[in-house]
Amino acid sequence: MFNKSNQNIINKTSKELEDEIEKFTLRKSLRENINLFRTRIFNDEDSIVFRIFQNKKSNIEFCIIFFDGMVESLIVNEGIIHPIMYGYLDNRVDNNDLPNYLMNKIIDSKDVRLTSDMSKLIEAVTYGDTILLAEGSDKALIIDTKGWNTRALEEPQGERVVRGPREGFTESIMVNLSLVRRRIRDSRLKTKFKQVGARTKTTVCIAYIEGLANHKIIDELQRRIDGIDIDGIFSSNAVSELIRDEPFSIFRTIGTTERPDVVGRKLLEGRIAVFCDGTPMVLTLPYIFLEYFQVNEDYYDDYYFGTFNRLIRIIGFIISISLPAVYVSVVSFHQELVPTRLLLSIKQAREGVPFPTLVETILMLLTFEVIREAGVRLPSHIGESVSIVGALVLGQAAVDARIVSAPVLIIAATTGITSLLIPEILGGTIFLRLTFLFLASILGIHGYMFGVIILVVRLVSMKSFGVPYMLKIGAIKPDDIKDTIVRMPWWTQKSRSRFISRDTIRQKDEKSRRKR
Amino acid sequence: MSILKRAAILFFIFTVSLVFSGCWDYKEINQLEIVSGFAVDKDTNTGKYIITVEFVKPTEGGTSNISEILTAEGNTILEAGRNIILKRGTRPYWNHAKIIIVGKEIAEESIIPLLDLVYRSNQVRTDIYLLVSKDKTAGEILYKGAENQKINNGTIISFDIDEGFENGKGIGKYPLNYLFTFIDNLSREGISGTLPLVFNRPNGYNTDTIVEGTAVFKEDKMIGCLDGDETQTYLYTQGTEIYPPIVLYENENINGDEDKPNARISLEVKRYKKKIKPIYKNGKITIQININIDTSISEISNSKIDYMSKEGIRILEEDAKNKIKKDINNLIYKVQKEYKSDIFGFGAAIKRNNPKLWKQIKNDWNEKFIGLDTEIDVDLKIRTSGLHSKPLGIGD
Repeated sequence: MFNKSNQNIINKTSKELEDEIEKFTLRKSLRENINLFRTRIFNDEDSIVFRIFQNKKSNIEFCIIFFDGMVESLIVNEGIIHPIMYGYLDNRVDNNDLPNYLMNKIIDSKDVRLTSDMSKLIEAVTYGDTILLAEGSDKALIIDTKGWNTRALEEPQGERVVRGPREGFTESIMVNLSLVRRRIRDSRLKTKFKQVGARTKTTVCIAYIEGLANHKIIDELQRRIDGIDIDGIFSSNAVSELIRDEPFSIFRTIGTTERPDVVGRKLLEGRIAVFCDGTPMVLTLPYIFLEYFQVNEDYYDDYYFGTFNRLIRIIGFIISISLPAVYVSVVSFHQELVPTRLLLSIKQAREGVPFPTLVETILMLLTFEVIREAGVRLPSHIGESVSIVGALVLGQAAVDARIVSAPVLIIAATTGITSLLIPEILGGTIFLRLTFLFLASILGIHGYMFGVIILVVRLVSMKSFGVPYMLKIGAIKPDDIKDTIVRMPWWTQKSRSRFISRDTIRQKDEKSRRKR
Repeated sequence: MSILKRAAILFFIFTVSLVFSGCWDYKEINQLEIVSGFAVDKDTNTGKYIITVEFVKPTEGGTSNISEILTAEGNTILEAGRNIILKRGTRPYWNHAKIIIVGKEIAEESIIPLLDLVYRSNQVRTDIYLLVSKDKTAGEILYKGAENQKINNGTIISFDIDEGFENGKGIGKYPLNYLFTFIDNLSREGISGTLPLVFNRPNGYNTDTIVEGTAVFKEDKMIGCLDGDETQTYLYTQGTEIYPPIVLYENENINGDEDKPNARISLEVKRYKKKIKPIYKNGKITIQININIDTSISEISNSKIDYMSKEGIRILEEDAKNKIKKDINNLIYKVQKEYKSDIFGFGAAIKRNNPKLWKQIKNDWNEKFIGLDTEIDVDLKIRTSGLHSKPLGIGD
């Protein structure tokens, strides 16, 4: 069934195939070149198009090669084929000059490159560009004809705001960059492109503002990205995992967002953004612990409301990791700590429940997580019925059947809801909660305290690209906390964080501001 | 050693040391027999202690709580408490006990053994309330009280008494001392301890458990009682935050019939300050008691005198002053003559103000206290008259 050449290729390893491609070079003969592409490089490939045509006057033959569906037909038709067919091509033009002549005088396209590098040509075709080969020339033109369909700009599902911009990133890196550039119209916003992934050749872009971002961090980031050796990248999370500090920590040391306004704000704080083609999630770094609690809604609301919400989030996080542990330790070790009336009502509720409090609590916590996980990826109407069955029917029935006691249900519900206050930290919250719970079930409140101490020591010792994860808590200045657990009014935020940015002056002094 | 190996060993150590060492102090909440209060008596014939414990038990289905009372005997109080296990099978959980009722025999003999046990124990709290039984045994107060609660579908008698203490500030018929203040008073020089009295009073077919009156201690022994009214007066000299109302009868000072009082007036105490100051002059100690009371009129029954006028208010103030003065004088006299116990803390006041003098008289303070002169100065003001400025008028 297979022809000979096919059989050859199939038997070769991918390493041999790569080496072979490097050996290919363009010849002067168009036929030979087309043959090379058709039988050696893109063999067994049906979606590639070879369109051979001639100039009307001089009868010079041309061939364009592109992938069907990846190019913008209009550009190919009107910008390449039509001008070349009907254009004035002089026979006298030297074959070696022909590509240059075409590039400069004939082709209607904003981006045309001349090359003879085979790997560049292949890469261009696979990325939606078109290559133009001409008879008698051993060089080819790469014409930018990228034109695949992209998703429209939508509000990100995971980061909704009530009052604020609703644009979110898409999967196209150029669109994403344009979204940010539109917000920061500064020539000092720099972008550096890199390719990551041996097969996917994913474009990764480092963006920062010259003068604000720390060059040591940029250099280190470039070094780390260059060091990535992987066949393919499909999400920025993979990049993040490959380059982050503290790879084993349950806390992130690189932030992600889907919102151009957030990226813009972080760039202005002196942070660096990493865009990754094919994913709407953009990485920002360095990332500190408090950024979990800084939701962009805070900046769009009144500052006191923003501050309140931030405090709620922090308290919610603490409740979410501590409540089951504290409950279990108090109910099964330190009953003297509970007010008498509460103790009696807990005791009443526990009457007839066969399991120890620990088992009860784990049962309910896991049930909640199962319901959450079941509902996340379902279509919303099915998701709703899952949560109704889970929350109402299951919970109530479990209490009625005396499998769990009512207080445990309340604990599970409270921790569940508070953990959803900050979806980004959810994994860490669940992990910490269960760890604390186990410690508390063994040593009571002492176990819980051990857990908290270890957590704090760990957090304080962490760093993200050289920036202390908890900032330097011991050496904090009033200026440092203006945008941390509180969100101070904009007119007070005169400086950037000195831990991150090189240039800390954000606003000039009060007087000159008033004068304006 | 590779990281993996090291992590595995660490994990192993943690698991073994945490899991196999068991759960320190672990006890499930529904295995606890929660004690709400207990009473301690002494059998005078055998010399054994009898402890009566009230447990809180959830009812079937766990909707409410009922009390269950058990008694046990032992040579010491602790042994008696442990002997409860013989009857119940589980160990009582003392941490949430709210009251201890002390039998009269123990109070009169010596309260120290009980206090020592309770104060040493890490289970019974020191902010528990101590009461002295006025009835024959302390146990019967719990028994009868619980029985009565059962009939009336009530809850836990110990908790009821404890809750009563919370509201006791407005009535002042018993002194309100935590265990630790009582122990403090016992061990301090120049002040004696007092405890509230508790007794059962038959009320038709039921019995009411009443807390009223004061048990007066001299050193560690109870030597007598004050009734409710005397306790109110006593509390005025103590300066605690207890504000009993002042009740005046019009006929007391204003010409009227002795048997038929014209009007009764209550004053509510709004603010109250007292100062006890010893004065040492010519080898003689006089105790000056300054009392500052701000009151408001809260109740006036029909009267011919207009108490809202300046004159009327002056009369009321004068009456109230005299009444308080007279009551305090009578009480001090009674305590000096009958009980010879310094429950007012005069000695402590001298020690505070004049330590040198206290050193001299410390040893024969008991005799000195009996002959102590007191000077009482009451400054009482009526500040407001409630929401009305006039008594309710009756039109035709």
